[in-house]
Amino acid sequence: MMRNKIIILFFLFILTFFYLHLKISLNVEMYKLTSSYQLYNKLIDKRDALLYNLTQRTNLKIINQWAENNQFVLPSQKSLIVFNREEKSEEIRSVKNYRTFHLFGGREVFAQGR
Amino acid sequence: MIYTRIRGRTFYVFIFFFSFFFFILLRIGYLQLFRNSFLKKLAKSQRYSLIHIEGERGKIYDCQGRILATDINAFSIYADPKLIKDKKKYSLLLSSALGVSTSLIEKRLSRNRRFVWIKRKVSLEKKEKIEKLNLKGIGWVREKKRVYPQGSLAAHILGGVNIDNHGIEGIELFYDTYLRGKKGMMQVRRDSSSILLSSPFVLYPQKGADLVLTVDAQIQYWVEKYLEDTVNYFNARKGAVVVINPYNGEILALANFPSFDPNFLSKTSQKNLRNYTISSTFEPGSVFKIVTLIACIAKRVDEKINTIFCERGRFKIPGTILHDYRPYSNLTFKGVFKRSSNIGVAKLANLLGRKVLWEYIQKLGFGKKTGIDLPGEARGLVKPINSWSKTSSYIIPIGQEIGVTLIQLVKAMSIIVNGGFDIQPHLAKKIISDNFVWEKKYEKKRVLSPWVVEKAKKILVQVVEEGTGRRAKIKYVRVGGKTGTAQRFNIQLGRYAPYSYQASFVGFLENEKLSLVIGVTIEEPKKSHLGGVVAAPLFKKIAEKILAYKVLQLELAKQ
Repeated sequence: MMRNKIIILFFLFILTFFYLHLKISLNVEMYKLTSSYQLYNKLIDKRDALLYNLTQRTNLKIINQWAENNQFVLPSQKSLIVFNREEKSEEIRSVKNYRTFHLFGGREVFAQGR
Repeated sequence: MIYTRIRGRTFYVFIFFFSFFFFILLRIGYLQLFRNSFLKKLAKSQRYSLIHIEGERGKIYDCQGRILATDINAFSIYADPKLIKDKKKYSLLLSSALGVSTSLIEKRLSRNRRFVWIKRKVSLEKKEKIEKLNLKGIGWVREKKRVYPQGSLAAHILGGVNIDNHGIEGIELFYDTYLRGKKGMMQVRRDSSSILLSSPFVLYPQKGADLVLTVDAQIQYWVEKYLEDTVNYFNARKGAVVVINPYNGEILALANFPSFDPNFLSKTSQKNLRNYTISSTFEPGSVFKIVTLIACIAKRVDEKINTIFCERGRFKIPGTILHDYRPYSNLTFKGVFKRSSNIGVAKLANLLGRKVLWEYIQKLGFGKKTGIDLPGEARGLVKPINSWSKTSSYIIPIGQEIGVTLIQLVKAMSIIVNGGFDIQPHLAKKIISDNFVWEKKYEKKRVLSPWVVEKAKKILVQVVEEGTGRRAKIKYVRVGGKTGTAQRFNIQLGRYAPYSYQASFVGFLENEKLSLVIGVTIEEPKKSHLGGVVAAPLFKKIAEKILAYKVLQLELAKQ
């Protein structure tokens, strides 16, 4: 009789222990999740602030004004455009009246300036 | 004796503890059995709460993928006035950090409330400044803010949103249901020190669909710049330009001047907000002669007559006298349109009859909406045929007593250029969501025969080659169009104002790679009032730039 009581008590203890352990783990996870969300939001805030500042400084109006101030023109049919997929060569770079544009994908374009 | 006294005291202690615990038991029983659900709810509401997560509004891109409108995280600063004692000091500090007037902040802080907004949607830098001040009773909330990185570029296309990120103007309003994100929710738990803990029970917010426009921001930039230059040079009141692909109705640029910055929509005057290209109805003047031109060719009037006597510049019609800019005597059919003779066109229209004219006004889309995907489009003003006076048959063909919008004129010219198909001008190319990509198919309906429009195009090319539109001529490119100079009707005076004109030019350019229709209208120019002098050079400037740009694009695409 006494032995059975001890076994029941032992099982009860084990069950309570696991239940409490789960509860605590869940709380720990919630704290972790909260800090992750906070970090995520902070990073998004930073990204958005950087994006905003970048676009304010590099919008089409500013780029076009810069191009106009530096006398860049769209090449006409008579102008020469050289597309260079090879490594940059100092000789080509120094050609008078040509300017270098960097395109996406590492390509470079040399276009005639006015 | 002593034993009995002790027993008696023990009994009283027992009774005391028994009744104490019995009452506690009763109270527990009452709370558990009768107040169970109420207390459960109360406990839950104190520990758990739902917070809303704002859904991001969809981005707007131009046809090259440049961002025209996007959402960024911003911070709204609020205060609890009950916790603030030194309101003057607070308002001074907040005013210097946020750039809001001290009196306004002080006024808000003196309200008898627990919550007041100080400033909504401020930048991260400003929020950090406030945080460093460490002010008690001041807090912030993270919100989404609509930002237009290109500033005032394409302002009349994009429109804008209100403080709650709901579209109130332009494309933002027209496609609001697609662009608007859906709110999400998250269950949070408050711990013993009132810190909110995120839980895995989240209903994620849905981002609104992204919108890709047909507009090219680079072309839009040039159009806006040259339009502004022209309006300033001629000291005009305002101006508008539309650039369209006549074959599919895609609008490449649409601009008005004066314009506004959609980032500061609330500070913009209603006058500048109005999109004149679609909502302003004006008398087109000679540009409207394209209707008579098309009708004459379709009814083969041009084949039946050799010359038209233009009355040497003065022609009496019922109710008034028609004048030409220069006195012409005999002009050929082509000559009438090349020289833009009012008398010649009025005589031709009279030969056609009002029914035919009415039919072609309808066919070219005047008097009805074009269906452009922008809010506030006007129908224009076309008198029903049964209310035309005797004068109407003479003056409607020369673009008086009729009201059109610039987009209607551009659409009519597009029908001529694309071989006779009715098209729908539009701005939305694609709507992209997580689950679908929507690409609207715009139907084309033939309204004119190909031989009719081909003949009309040849005459319109001659208008530019040798006629009133000479200043729109571009070397090596086929350019055609029609100029228009119309006196403006003044409502206050109740008659045509003597020195108030509307100078317009609607033209097209074609080469093997590119075909475009460009419509230009300038209101009340001062130095000159002629469409051929004011509007045609602007057409040329824009067309030349687009040509060079498109050729470069094609070359780059080949590489």
